[in-house]
Amino acid sequence: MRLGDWARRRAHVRDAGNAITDLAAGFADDEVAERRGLRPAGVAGIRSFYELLDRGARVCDGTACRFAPGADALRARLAELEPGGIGVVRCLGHCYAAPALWSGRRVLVPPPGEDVQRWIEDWGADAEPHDDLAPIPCVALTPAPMILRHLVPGATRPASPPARPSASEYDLPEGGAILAAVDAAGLRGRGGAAFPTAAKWRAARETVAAERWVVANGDEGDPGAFIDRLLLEADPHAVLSGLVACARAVRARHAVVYVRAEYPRALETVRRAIAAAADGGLLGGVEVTAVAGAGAYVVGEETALLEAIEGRRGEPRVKPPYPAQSGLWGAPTVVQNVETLAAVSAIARTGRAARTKVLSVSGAVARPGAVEVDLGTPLRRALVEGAGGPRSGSRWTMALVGGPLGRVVPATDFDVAVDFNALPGLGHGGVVVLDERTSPRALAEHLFEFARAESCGSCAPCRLATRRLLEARDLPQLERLLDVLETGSRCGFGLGVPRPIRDLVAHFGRELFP
Amino acid sequence: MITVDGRTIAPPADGARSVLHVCRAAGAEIPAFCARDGLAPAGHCRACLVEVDGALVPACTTPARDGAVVRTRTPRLDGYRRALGALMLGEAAPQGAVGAALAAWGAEAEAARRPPAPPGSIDRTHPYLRIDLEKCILCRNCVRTCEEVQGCFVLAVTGRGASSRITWGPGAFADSACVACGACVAACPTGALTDVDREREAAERRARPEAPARTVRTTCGYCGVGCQLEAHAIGNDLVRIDGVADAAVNRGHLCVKGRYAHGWVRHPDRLTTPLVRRDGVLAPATWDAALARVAAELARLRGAVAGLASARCTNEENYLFQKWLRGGLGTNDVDCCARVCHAPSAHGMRAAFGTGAATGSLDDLERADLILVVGANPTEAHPVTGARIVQAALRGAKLVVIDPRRTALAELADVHLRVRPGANVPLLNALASVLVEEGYAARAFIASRTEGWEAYAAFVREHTPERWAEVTGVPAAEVRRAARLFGLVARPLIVHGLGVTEHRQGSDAVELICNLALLRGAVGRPGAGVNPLRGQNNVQGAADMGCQPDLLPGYVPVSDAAARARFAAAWGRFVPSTPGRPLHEILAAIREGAIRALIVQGEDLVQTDPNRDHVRETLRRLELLVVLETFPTETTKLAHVVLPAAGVFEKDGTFTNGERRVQRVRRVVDPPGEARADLHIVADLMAATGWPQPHARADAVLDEIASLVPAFAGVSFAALEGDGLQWPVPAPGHPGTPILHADGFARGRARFHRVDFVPSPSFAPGVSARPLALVTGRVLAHYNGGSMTRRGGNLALEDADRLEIHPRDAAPRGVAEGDGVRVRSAHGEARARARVTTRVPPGTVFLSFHFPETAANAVTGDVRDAATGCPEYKLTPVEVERG
Repeated sequence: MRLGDWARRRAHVRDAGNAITDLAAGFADDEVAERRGLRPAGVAGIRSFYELLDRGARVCDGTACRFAPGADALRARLAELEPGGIGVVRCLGHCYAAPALWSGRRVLVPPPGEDVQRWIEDWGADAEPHDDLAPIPCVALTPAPMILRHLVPGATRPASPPARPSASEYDLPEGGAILAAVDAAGLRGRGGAAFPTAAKWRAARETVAAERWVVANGDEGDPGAFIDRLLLEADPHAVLSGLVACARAVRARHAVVYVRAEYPRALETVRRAIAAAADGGLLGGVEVTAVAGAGAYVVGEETALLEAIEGRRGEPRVKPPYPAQSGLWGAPTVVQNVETLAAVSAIARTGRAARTKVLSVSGAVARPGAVEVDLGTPLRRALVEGAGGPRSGSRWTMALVGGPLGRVVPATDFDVAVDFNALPGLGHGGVVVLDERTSPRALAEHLFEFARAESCGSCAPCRLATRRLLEARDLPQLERLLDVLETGSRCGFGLGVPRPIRDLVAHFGRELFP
Repeated sequence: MITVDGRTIAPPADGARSVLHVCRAAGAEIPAFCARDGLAPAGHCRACLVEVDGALVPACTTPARDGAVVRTRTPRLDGYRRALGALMLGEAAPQGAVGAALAAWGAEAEAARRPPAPPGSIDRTHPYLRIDLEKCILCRNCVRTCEEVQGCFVLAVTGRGASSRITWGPGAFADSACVACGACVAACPTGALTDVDREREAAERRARPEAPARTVRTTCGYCGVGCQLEAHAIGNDLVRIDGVADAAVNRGHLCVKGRYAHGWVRHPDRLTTPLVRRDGVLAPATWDAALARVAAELARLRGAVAGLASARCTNEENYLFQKWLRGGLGTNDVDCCARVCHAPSAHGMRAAFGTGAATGSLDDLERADLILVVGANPTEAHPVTGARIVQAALRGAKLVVIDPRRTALAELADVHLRVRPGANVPLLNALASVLVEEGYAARAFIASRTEGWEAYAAFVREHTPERWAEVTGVPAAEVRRAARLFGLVARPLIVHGLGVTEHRQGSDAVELICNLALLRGAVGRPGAGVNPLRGQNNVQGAADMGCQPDLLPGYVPVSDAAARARFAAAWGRFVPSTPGRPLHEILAAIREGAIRALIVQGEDLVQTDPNRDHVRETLRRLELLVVLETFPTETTKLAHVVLPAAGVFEKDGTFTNGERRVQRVRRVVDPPGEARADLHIVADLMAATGWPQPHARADAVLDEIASLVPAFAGVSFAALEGDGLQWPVPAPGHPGTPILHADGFARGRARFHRVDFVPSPSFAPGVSARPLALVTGRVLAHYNGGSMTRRGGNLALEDADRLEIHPRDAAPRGVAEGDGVRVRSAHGEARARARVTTRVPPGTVFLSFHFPETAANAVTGDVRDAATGCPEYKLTPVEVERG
């Protein structure tokens, strides 16, 4: 039995919140202990797990922001303003507008077209920098975009505004037909694991249970990815209709949309969209709740996500059992990434095949943004035609694809196909393109720091090895640590950390330990 | 088949078993720091990786699959383990099993890399537990044990990733909610969590390397759960106690008393020589002189002798004691302390079912859909059972608690019926009325296996929750909610305690509890039944062994001529036919002069019986008071002869726990000085009074019991190895009987009883000069008269009795937390410190009775259960004032 199960009996809560929401709402530890029937140690354990429960200002240390022109100047300026130092946050999903800042409640970026130097010079004692409200640029390199169907320029039908959902968007066939369509479409999860969606649904549908749950995983933690934020903010009804379709297919009556704390606007948009869809009677009897994250990368792992929703430390669970057998509160649960659900919405209503993938492109490109491509498209074409080629004056050296557990692709290999098989580690499709300004050693250190900071510590190999990566003084030392991670880690985090580092070793080995 | 390192073994029958289980079954040694029986596999340490079909997987969390090929040693695994070990040593300095394993792997840390210990890593504030997180590798066994075994949630992991560590929250560990069960210490493989006993054991080993070390399995001598202990001794010194990992009763778990409260064994206060009163003063004497004095006096006083056996002593000692009283001294005036606790349970259940003992087993707690806890606080009084109930509730079993106090279980309950002390009968009737009225009665069971239904149903229908709400203090809607939960589940289990029995209508209330079970057909099948929580280690056994005035061993009435003849033939002595006097009548007879000699086997009548001053005056009238004791008590002060007795770790025999399980008690150390086992003392007394016993050994006495008591026919030392046997054991080789009444009730059909409310004279809520209802009971750290638990570290956990009083009652009396208070009744006055708390409802106060200076039983009175004479400890009208 786990800590929260004690609380569970008192608050088998969907909307009534839990220790995490209490802490986020500002209750003191002893108040939370009293409200949730927890001991002080349990509350301390939860508080210390989620970094954004601390509402201080932070600078974004996502890959795009860290290596953006002007990032050093920004940090220097922040050091002047905050002599006590300032925390970091790992990716605010504004990679295309880097470098970004977290005020504690909102995301701040340089105004479009404005130089970072001018932006930071403008900050006065009383003039607060303004939010980023500009839309995310969207491009389709496919004749029939699926995910960005409502968002690309010239879309035949624009996305429904959150408060005014279109009934046709929720006009879904019955559950069996949805499952068959998703199966026929060959859809694989877009969150990173690329698991066949229909197989997961079938397992949940066939597990005998009194209740079932479906969860939209909006904990898009990979630095460099912003497609989920884009969808949640700009096309929430596509996501919600996919969620309802999923619930119908697996016969679930309860659904959760989990939105990471770094995306406050997405959370607000989704809440409005849920309310509007419910008011319009469009949710088909599915009870949908939005749950806010609190800042922890590992929670993107589906079983850690369930722990977080139940109000505990977001550490991955032991598998088996898989969520489809025993998930939220022990009920069969399907967790799907936001982008996947947007695809489900289209597939369920049109029966189309799932042949595209959205890349979130940022870094040293001329026109960063979301680019939907057919699977199999060469990466270079996406970067050149979709993102406008190199930023002026920039020469590409490599790209981090699929986030810090993804791949490092050297520029010489940019002809690789965007495909789950040709590029294992494609993951959620974030692409941060780097140029000569970023050395392989600097990228390696970024990855080492990320691994150390975001390991949950639940299993020994990951907890112990990630902290030593930065200390490795030569390749053999580094290899030993990577071996331990790859061999012993409990979840995809520790198993994935070595992947881009091995790419760096393979392509830039001599530059890592000069 | 599964192949492990080339050896082929059958796949486990239980498909849920892991590769780790299979490897261990195949004899392969796998390092697994965070895998532990009783805890869910967690996969934290990742030390148990093995190769399965070519892939490296953790053995603990990987299900064993038929056809798998497992290799536990490969060059790759060796390399991985060395590297992982080096990383572990770079973080911590584990000792114990982990330290040894890492050394065996050849793992070496670069010592310079170890970060300095963060502040707060070492805590030595607790009376028993010791924490040094520098040794911790974060296997989390302690955290998971605290959650999954004890259900206490004191420990947690704080921080993330590299900064993770174990925490107990802010402040000193001694100030945490830890209940000192010590399970985390037993589970810790690194020495990061340890205890004073382990530290002392290590010191003893260093100091006396030549002293022989022994580990002996025995049965705990505190409450009636009957936990199995692994007692470790160095020389003649009991140094440490652990739970027996695979024991049926406790599965390795123990409580603060069973694990730690053994300081009394070697305490200087122990009685080590016989004491004989000369010229008004108790003075040391030889055994011969003491025995001769007793024999001479008993000869003089023959015909005016009574005896009190002890629910703390073994079956064999109890049996021999009553044999002596009946066959040797010619009286049935023999009783035991069951009289003051569970006599009403035995009486009421016997009336309903035909057998006065638990219908099921402790294991039924895991099978039940709903547990109804009536008048019991097992979290403190039967902690290992309490922990099992907490776990059952956390797993989803429904929990309904009937108790005036908001106990730990009440906090966790689905429904807590906060009954007014003394109003159990109307509340239990009200619950039954809902079951009848709303159609929850199990018609087929009732028709085929019970009697008295029609009249009962008509009677109980009248007792609606609405009718009794005012008297019971429980809102009718709550009663209905509880009844519906009870009525809806397939397997309701009822456990009850002294909050039921120690009342004017104690036996009546037990019959009403039986009615509830019968209404749902919930007797005689797994996960259901009526299981009284026995308060003392052998209260079941003392009654089984005939330490009751009207019943011979095996519950045959002394009035039964054939049974008497059987015992008379076996003993070669006359067995008196007139039922004797129960305890309270013995005391009355002493006052009247009809009884002039009393032999007491280890009971502190003065401290623990009600109306202390009256008891003391009564005992003073005796011409001979013989007390067999381990410590000086309030009662030995009045004795003419005190005989020093061995304690539970110093003798052989058997105890019978609350689920009728007869288990072995084994000698671990020798008694101090000239102290002797009660068995030998009684045998010597028998010899001195003219009835020598040829085989005064526990095993021989048990064989004699087996030959005379049909339910014990298959019981012997040899048959009890391991987990013992649950009686009845009708023949040698019989596996025992976990569930009674499965095929039929001992009395044929079970009987519904119609019982109306007869308020106790003490039941006068809110009126009179003594407006508060006093309830007495136990607290976690102490046990009954406290002679054992007050001598050791438990005193540091709880150093005095406390009076729990509601703020609303405390304020008008000017009583604040920690104030000294006087509790006054019609009988006397007790003194304690106030604990102002909403755990008790307004109008009710609670006082423990563990410290003689408190004199809790100076206050309690003479009201008794009508059927059995069990005192009403749970209701005394009192007034409380500061001072």
